Order: sequence, then structure tokens, then C-alpha cells
Amino acid sequence: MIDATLPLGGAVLLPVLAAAVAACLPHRARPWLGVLASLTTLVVVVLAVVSNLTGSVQTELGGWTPPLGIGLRLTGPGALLILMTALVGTAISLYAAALPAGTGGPAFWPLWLGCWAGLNAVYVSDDLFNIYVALEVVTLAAIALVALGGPPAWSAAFRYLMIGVVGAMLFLLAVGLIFAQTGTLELHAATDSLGGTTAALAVSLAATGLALKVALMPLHGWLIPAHSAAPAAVSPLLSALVVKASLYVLWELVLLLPQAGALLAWVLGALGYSRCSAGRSWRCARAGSSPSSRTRRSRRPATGSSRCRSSSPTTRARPPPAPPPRRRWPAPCCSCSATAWPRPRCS
Amino acid sequence: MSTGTFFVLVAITLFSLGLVRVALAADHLARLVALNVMGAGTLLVLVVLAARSAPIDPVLSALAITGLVITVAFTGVGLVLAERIETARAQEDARHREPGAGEPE
Repeated sequence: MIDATLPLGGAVLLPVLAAAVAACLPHRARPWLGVLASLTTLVVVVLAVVSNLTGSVQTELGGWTPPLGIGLRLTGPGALLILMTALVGTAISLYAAALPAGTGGPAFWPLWLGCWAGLNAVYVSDDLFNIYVALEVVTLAAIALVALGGPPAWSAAFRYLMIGVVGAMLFLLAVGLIFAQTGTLELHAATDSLGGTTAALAVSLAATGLALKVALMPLHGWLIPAHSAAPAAVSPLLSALVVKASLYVLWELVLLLPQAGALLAWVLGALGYSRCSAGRSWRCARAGSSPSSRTRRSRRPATGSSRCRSSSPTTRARPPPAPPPRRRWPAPCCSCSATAWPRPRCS
Repeated sequence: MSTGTFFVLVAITLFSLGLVRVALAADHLARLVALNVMGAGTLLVLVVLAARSAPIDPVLSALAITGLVITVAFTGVGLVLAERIETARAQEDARHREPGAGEPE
């Protein structure tokens, strides 16, 4: 087996190092470092994928074997996703360096590189708990990236945070249960000796938690405001990369559990399909200019909105409103009829 | 009822109470507190699982500690966000109260 320590470890540690250095650099130097780090990571990832062409590669960092150290393993799907991440990531870095206005500020660079490190760690981990930690790194960086969108994005970021933590806790419970039954955290070793009620419970908990993070059909409410309120360079990053990390973990779990996995795969497939069709009909319904509860509040709050809020006696108890999906919609407000299009400006 | 079962029940209660509050509360701070209650429930399950053997299972304790650290990180980010949202809302309200006081409905 080819020694894959350098490419597998480098794919994770290089972006971490770049993120730490970028955080210390002056703002003007960050795009240069970001582009340099992106291109280097792309090369390292291509090396890792090439070493994977003959079959799964695995390695132990620093020579520590799994019960003590963390095993790294790059499988076929992982190689595909890590390569996709590197290609999309390099494109995003080039775009962000060329158009700094779309990034939401210089804090973009450390956060994005940290997020990339987390993504690569998810794809090369062979350890359930390491996957959990890497998913958390990705989620935390993604929340901060959404919050770069400015005041309208903060509510969406907060909601994303809630969802992310709830999903992570369900996944952590599942990891604990799997470890308690099998005595190992290694993904491929754990699934061999997994069975019975504990396995069913653990897999349903993990599937629910990851479905929250992937935004499968009934649990998808957080995604639309978060992804649309984010800055221009962050939005593709979230949709193309961050969601895929949880999806990959879900995929691994389904693939490694032959019997329960088949049923789970059908359920998840049905939910995914229903999300596609429901998403489309939802968009059509909105195009018919019926006021949706989601677009209730504007990002630049119209003068009407504060009046509406103060008319309610429980102003403080209202849930944080989600920003509307697109800026081009004028602000709907309570004092004017929201059914007319173009909507009249409230004064 | 064994000690383990008792603590698992406590953990499930904490987790459910926290989850309900996270889903239903509107106040940002209340949601963050509920999130931490939920986290306590999750980590208690790990601790109970760790305490099944006579010397405590070090791997599960490590999981619980790492889980704590991650929850603290998320709570910190959540507090910053909540503070900023509340400040922005207060400024927005103040801005609308001044010129809009005599505005016709």
C-alpha cells in the first residue's frame, strides 16, 4: 500500500495552518495567502486522490495506531467528494480574491480555510468521533460565514446555530451508543459488530441529526434564509460543500449497514425527492406574489414593520424573523396590501 | 431501579426539556440556555455509558469532555450573535420611534 500520510494529513493540516496564518496577517495580504493555500491544497488533494486510484488508502498519523491515535482513510466516495471540494474551493478562493466585495469582509479567509480543513477532515476520517468533531468545525465556520452577511443575516445564522447544535447532539448520542456496543470508534470496524436495538436506535438518531444538517424535507426550514442571506462568495460554498459533508457521513452509515441501510436509503431518497418537488412548487407559489410567512420581514426593515411589531403586546416574545430569500422583493408590510405586484412602497 | 437507569432517565428528561424549549422559545438567551440543558442531557448519557465498567471508560469520558468544549464554542458564538441581533433591533426600534412618532397610520 502506498504511503499516504503526506497527502491525507496535508489535506487537513494545510488549510488549518493557512487559516491560522491568515488570521494573523493584515487584511490586504489575506487574499494572496488564501489563493496560495487553495492551490497548494488542490495539489495535495490531487496527490491523495491519485494514491487512492488503486483502492482505499489508509494511514495513522505519527505512527499511533487507532485505539490511541486517529486513523485516516480515503475511500472511493470520499475521494470523489474531496476532489470536488478542492475544485469548487479553488474556484471560490479565486472569485473571492478577485471580488473582495462579495466576501463580506477580511474575516472570510480564516473562516473559509478553517471550513475547508473541516470538510477534508470529514472525508478522510475513519473514526466516528473525529467525524463528529470535523462536522462541528465545518458547522461553526459556516455559521460565522453566514453571519458575515451583516445584520440581516444574523438571525438566519442564529437559527442555523440552533439547528447545527441539535443535529450534532443527536449524532454525538449515536456515536456514544455505537461505541458502547462495539467498543470501537473506527467506522469500518464498528459496523461489523453492530446489530440489534442499539444499532437501530443509534442509526435513527444519527440519521435524524444528519438530516437536520443536510436539510432534508421536513427539517429544511433553516437552509433557505441562511443560504440566501450569506455573502455572494459564501452562498455557493454552503450549498455545494458544507451540506455535502453531512450527506457523506449519512451515506457512509447507510452503505455500511446492509439491512437497516436499505430501508433508510429508501426513506431518505423519498424525502430528498419530495424536497426537490416541494421546493419548486414553493417557488412557484411565491412567484404568484402570495405573501409567504417566510418573506414577512424585510432585511432593510420598512417603516411599517416596527409599527406592526409594536402593535403586538408581546413584542419581545416573537421568534427571530428570517430574512427574505432575495433582495429584489420589495418589503411586504402590514399597513399596505401585499397582494398587489409591484408592491407599493410603504411610507 | 439501578443507578445507571436512573441517570439515563434524567438525561432523557433533560434532553427532551431542552429540545422543546429550543424549538419553542423566542428569546435568544433562553434558547441558548435550553441548548446547554440539552447538551447536559447528551453528555450525561455518555458519562453513564462510561461508568458502566469499574474503572471508568477513558474513551467515553474523552468524548464527553470534547463534547463540552464544542458546546462552549457554539454557546460563545451564539451569545455574540444574540447580542448583535438584540442591539440591531434596539437601534432599529429607536430609529423608527423618533421620526415616526407623529406619522399617520
